[in-house]
Amino acid sequence: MTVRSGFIALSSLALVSLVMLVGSPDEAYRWVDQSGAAAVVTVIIAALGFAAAGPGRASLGIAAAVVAFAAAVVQLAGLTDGGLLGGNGSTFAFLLGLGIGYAGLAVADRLQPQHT
Amino acid sequence: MSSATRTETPVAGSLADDRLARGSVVAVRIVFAFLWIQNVRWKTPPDFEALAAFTGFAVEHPVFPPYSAVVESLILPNIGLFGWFVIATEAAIGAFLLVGLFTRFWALLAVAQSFVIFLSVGLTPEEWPWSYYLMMGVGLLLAGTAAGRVWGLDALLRPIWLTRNTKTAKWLARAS
Repeated sequence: MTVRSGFIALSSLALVSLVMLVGSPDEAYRWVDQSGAAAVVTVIIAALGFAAAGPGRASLGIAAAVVAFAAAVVQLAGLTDGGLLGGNGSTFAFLLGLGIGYAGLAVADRLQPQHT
Repeated sequence: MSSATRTETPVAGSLADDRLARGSVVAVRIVFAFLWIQNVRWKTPPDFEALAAFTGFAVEHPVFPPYSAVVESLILPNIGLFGWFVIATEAAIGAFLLVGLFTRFWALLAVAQSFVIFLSVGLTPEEWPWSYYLMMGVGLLLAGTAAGRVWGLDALLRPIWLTRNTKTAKWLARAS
């Protein structure tokens, strides 16, 4: 795996999570709950992630991580009633994972020696 | 087995070189991550009603009486605090396993958390104890295979930590 393929894979995973939502009206089959607002945020995060896969654009991965972490905090604050994003604990955990993933990829890009 | 026999034995293919094995490890890691992510859904503050009922099974149907006593005297009266600890633990397990970072550490924590859940509901009617044996088994599998080194952040970051001669880097490498 390279940093570039990592950005593409993680962003694809984010979008696939939305497909699972659309195709699964029964919550037992939804692996992560994302209401309309949370879905829009996930699309923005994934778009930043795909853009970060471009040459010399890994810093956009930091932007994706910041948006994901901020959204996770907003969702955590709204766990009681759904909050601004209208999700629940699964939404929080998934956004946290995206944030960790993009931040890790951005860090890997900075620390890896083989920049050409 | 004699040394002569050992040298004649054909070398089995390595898991790391087997594309199907690598793909399976990634698939299991991601599905297992979503198991934890999905189940943060029903842990709802501030009263954590469903979690309290679930945890209370440890008292109604004890698996290990000393644990039941701890649940009854310490955890249930403080479920408002305990619930946040469960959210933090399970959300972190799901999040880190999803992206394959510090996978060995988080997979072993998943084993421990699965065992705690088993202690709560292992003898509860209509629960299937094998669910929790399987969860512990999958956690052990992911830790043992260092599953984050395949399509996970550990694959990118561990080589960097291995080149650094600091205690922190060594611990990070062990956790991955």
